[in-house]
Amino acid sequence: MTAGSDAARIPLQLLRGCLVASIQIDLSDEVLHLFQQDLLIALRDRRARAVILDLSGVRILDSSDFESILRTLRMARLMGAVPVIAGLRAGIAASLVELGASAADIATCITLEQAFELMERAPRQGT
Amino acid sequence: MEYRVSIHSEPDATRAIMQTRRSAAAAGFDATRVSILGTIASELVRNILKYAVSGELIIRDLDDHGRRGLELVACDQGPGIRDIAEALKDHVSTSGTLGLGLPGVKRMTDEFRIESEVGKGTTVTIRKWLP
Repeated sequence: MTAGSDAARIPLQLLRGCLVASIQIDLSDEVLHLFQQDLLIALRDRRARAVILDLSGVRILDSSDFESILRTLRMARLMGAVPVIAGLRAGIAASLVELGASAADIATCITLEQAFELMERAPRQGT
Repeated sequence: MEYRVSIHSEPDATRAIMQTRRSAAAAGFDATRVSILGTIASELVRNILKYAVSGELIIRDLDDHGRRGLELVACDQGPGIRDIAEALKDHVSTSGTLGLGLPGVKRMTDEFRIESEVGKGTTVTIRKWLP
C-alpha cells in the first residue's frame, strides 16, 4: 500500500477523438504525478485532439492538487490537445475561488456531454 | 465531539480530511460548506506535511448557546513562520503558486488565528459557524 508504484491510477479513455480522464479516487501528489506521465504518453500514442478532465467524482481538491492538474493540462495543450475541465462540484469551485486559484486559460463546463459539444464546435488546432 | 488525527503521511491527511467532512455534515453544514471545510482541512494538513513533516489536526464540534459550528486546530512542531503577515498575503501573481494557501483559508472561515514561533512550531485555529 505504501510503495509509490502501487498508487491508484486515473483511467484514460479515447472517446470521439478526445482523451477522457475521469477522476473517481482521492488525489495525492503521487496519483497526480502518475496522471501527468500517463496522460502525456497517451496523448502522443493515441493522437487525441483534446483532453477532457471529468472532476465530477472529486470531493476534495486543494490548491496544490489544482495547480498540479493545471500544469498537466497546460503541458497537454503545448503538445497540441485542447484541455477542458468538466464537472467541478459547487463546493470545490467555491473553495478554489476563495483560495485564489484561477483557470482562466482552460475551458470549463458542467457536464461531460457539454465538453464533447464544445470540442466538436471548436476549430481544430494547428492546421 | 472531538477527533484528533496525527499527521505523518498522505493517508493520514486523507483521514483527517474525511473526518472533517463527516463532522461538518453531522454538525448540519450543507454540501457546499462541507466541501469548503474539507478543502480548509486539506490546505492545513498539506502545509503540515510540506513544511513541518508531522503534526496533528483536531476537529471539534462547537456549540455556543445553540449556535453550532466546527473548529479545526492544525498544530506542528515545525520550523515556524518567520513573517506571518507575509504568509497571509496573496501570492498568485509571480510564480503562479498559491504559497501556503493561508489567505484563502482565512477568507473561507469565520474566525482565523495563527500562532507561530520560529524553531518551535505553528498552530492554526479556524472556526466556521452554521449560518
